[in-house]
Amino acid sequence: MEQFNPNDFLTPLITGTIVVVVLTIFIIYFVIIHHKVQQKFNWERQNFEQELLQTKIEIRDSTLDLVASELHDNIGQIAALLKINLSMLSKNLEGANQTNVEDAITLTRQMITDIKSLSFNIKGEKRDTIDLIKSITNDVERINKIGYLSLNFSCDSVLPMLKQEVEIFLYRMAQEILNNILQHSQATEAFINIISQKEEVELIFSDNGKGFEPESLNLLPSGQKRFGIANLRKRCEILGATFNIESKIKGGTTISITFNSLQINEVSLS
Amino acid sequence: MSLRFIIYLVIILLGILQGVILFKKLNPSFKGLVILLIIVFFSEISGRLLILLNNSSFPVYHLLIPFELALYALIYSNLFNKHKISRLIIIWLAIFFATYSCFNSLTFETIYTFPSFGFTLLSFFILICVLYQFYLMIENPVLTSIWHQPIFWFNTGNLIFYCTTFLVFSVYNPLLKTNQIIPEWAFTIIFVANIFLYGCYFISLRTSKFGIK
Repeated sequence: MEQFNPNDFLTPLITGTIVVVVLTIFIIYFVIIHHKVQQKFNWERQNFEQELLQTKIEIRDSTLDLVASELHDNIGQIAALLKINLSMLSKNLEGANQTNVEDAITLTRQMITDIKSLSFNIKGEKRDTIDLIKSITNDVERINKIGYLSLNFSCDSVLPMLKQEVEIFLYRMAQEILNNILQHSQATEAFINIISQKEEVELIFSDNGKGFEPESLNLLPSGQKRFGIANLRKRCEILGATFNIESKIKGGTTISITFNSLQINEVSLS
Repeated sequence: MSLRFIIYLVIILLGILQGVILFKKLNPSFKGLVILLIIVFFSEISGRLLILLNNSSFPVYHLLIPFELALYALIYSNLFNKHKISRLIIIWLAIFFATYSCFNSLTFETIYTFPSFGFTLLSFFILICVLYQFYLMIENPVLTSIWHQPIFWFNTGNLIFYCTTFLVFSVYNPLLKTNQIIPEWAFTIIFVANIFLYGCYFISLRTSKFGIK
């Protein structure tokens, strides 16, 4: 029978202690490394999404530019030629026929005006410089002129200085929200309030429309995804702004976007 | 039945319950883990019954090792599903180790001897898988917090437990040969390591609802 030797136990005990210490250090080290890798991955992903969004905006802008140019330079010119031809034709006509052609000329003139106006509006959509308040005021006037709903806009104080790209970004978000109100809310009245206290700014959009269940926040009644809201949320995330939406059935919807102007001006959107 | 054994069974049972509740939502790897926990639970009870009948629970462990190797191979091969070569290596290594473990049970460490060599092979196999899995976690990061990643808990449990048992089981038979009673510290270490392992498995199954494999 082999003899009991205390050294037989000492070796595994020391080795065991070393292994436990090494393992603990290894796991802590792994967690730290993993955290760093995760942060880098997150940063790269956010950058990618930002670039993707920027590309989308650029593609949209260039498409709008093309459409505006086509309307103005091609269709507008054809309509102008049509008007000239009709004018020449009307000189050779008499009575009822001449009246009909004169009516056609009037309609063509109206069409040319509309094409120019549309081209101008589309050009206006693609902006390099913008005044957020002025642009929202213009949109509010345009919507009120249509008479579909009564839109009230108030801005009780002077906004802090914002970078041009940030103002464009915020204006696009305001347009998205207004489009949502017009398309989905069935509201008769809506409000836009801009409140600023020092560097803190809050944009509030509210309506008295049909509202929706908070559970269906990401889905339209048809089951389709509410890309508009997801897009707004994503844009706020990129800006570092806080996005909040409150809604209840038949109780309207309120969307608020809150941000700090100093922080938001540091965000790179280009 | 000692209090330690009851605590041990309760921890395994909690893991099984957690796994069964989420079973449909679990990916194949964690379904394999639930099956592994069930097998371990019944093997521990059978081991106790065998002690009463036969004065030794070792035959159960001889049977358990090939099953564990197969299930861990299934779990890790599913976790490595994007890495075909690693997957193949894991499967063939498991087959080789399981065969060698059976051979060991029939020759060197027969069924009434503790299969320390088999456990050492199992520990070695799992440690390779764990370290490779950690490497993959660094290579392919996800946005989920590490504390919410089931694979982190699963691998941490495995790493600590199998490193510890690797040492303890490797000296188990030499200790018995000296005809000495196994020192209490060895049992305490194995008990703590077991609780840590099955606790980690429980957390792993619980965090699997965060949707990361």
